[in-house]
Amino acid sequence: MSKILIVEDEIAISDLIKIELESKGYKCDVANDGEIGADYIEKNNYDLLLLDIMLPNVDGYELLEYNKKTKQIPTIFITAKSQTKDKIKGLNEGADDYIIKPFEMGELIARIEAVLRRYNKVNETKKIGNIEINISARTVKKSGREVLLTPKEFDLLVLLVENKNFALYRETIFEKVWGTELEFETRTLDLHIQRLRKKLDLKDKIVTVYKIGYMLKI
Amino acid sequence: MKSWKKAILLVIVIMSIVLACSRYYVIKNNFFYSIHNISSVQNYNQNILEKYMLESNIIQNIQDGKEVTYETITEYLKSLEQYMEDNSELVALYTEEHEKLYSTIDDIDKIDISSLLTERQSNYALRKIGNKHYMLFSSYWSINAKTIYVVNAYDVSNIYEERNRQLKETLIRDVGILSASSIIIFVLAKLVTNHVDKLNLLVKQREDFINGFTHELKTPMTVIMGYADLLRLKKCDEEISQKALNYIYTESKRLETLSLKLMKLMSLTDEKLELEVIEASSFINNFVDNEDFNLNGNKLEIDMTKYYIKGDKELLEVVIRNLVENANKAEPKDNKIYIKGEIIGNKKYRISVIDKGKGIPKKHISRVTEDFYMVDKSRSRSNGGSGIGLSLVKKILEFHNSMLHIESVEGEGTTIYFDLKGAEDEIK
Repeated sequence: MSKILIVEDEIAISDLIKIELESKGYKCDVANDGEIGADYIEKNNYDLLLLDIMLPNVDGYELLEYNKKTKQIPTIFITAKSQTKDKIKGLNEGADDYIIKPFEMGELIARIEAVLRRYNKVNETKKIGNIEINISARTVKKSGREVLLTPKEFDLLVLLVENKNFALYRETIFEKVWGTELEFETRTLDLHIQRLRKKLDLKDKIVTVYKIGYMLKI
Repeated sequence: MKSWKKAILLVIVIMSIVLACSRYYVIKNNFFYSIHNISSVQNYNQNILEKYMLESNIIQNIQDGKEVTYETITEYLKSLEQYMEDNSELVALYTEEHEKLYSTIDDIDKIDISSLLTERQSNYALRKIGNKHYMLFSSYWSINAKTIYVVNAYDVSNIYEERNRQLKETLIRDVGILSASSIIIFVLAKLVTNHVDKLNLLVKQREDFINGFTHELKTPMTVIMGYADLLRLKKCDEEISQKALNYIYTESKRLETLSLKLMKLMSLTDEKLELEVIEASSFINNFVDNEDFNLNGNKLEIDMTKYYIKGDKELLEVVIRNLVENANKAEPKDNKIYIKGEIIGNKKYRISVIDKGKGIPKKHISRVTEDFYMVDKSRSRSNGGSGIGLSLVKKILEFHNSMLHIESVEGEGTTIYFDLKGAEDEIK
């Protein structure tokens, strides 16, 4: 799995990113200041850097410069600097992407994966048992044979796979997949879950968690 | 400077150059006109007249049966000379071989007159002889198969003088105008660049304000949103949940402090304050006793002289709290923060907050009172600073008609003080 270095002086934010990324299966190191960040880049091998710009001792731009001269690891800037000229500067200096605080974790993960895909550092497919999911082609194969899923079913499956072994709340699942709030007593979510279970033979793996929602148990 | 002023200035410069050129042109034209049209016609007529006189003399001589030679003509010319009273007209006589027979023109040998000695009528040339300008005319006769040339020179120096006078006048005037306008342009350019520098600083300050403000808002917001989203999506274990909730709490607390300070700052901008009479020493001592400073082990040393001052208690408390917190962040080496109050001349009272901490780098001193300005951006934040404290202090002091003075040596410490108006008179 990909290894990511987070250089961010705000411990609350670096912790948050670390928790999220580790739950997605990434390995993470955290540096809370630019100098430590440079040390980590020198000593270890990473697939991606997440850099804050305003850092103590060595700032994000300098760190990026250092990275360019040494390891050339793909880099995403995470910063509160939201002016267009800052973005242009960041991207011109060689960052692969630029994300502005406050961001939603979902967006950060998507951007991380996009950059990793560009460098062929992530598998296009996620595997759960004999099920193979291709995120960019939006296709699912079961034991090598393609299974047709509706777009919502596919999104739901990806959400469950990305958060496997975590019980997910019904309301939040609905909001993330359908984009609107869960209406009272609607059965839409449950119907989709049932169809996923049936189509992919996941009866035992997608479990209902009492009073919470659903969980993909592997 | 506004662009229309620049435009006008540019037009003036261009106009003066164009005017100068056109004046030179006019002077030159005038000169040529007076030389070639007026003066040449005049002198030509004169020359014709003299030619006829000479001719009639020659004819007279022939009729009288006298022999006409170079010598007789020379004699005749010499006899005419007495009629020429001034030196404005000169004459010279040449043979066919351009040999000089006779001349009243000094230095005639030094100038080239060969173009004149041809068999062409109304031919003239301008020559400078000595320091005078002459217009030279030539005429010729053939006598006994020999050609004789007579050159008449007319003084036209006055025309040249007039031209030189005009040129000099114009030159002085134009140089004057140009140098005056270049001085004006220089001064204006100086003013413009000063103004631009000021504007640039203003833009930089505004940018820093926006950057600071967005950073101060966005960091806690990212944290709150991120952890809240984490909690509402999945059932996390106890440890992560607790951590997430703690972060959400502390970051929203930070947002609250920031918003309170900002609101205080905003409410100050258009309020007129009623200042009350306060006894400085007891006010500071009471405030320090009741306030719960978080000074991580540092101690406050208070040395206040008793004196009545005018001020707003609540706002002055904000000032003291901010200054003490800043002094504390400077990590004083002797673990002490000093608050000093003393009477200075002119019925004023000076309150100083002194620390022997790390000090403020020189280039930052003038800017630390700007909104969100932080000397060390990341460290101030991990200390819980928002960058708004000193600008609030500055605003409050403005309402007291006072100013914040900062004296700091990097590595040695900082003294911040302000003077308040005394109110001893009002007590009596």
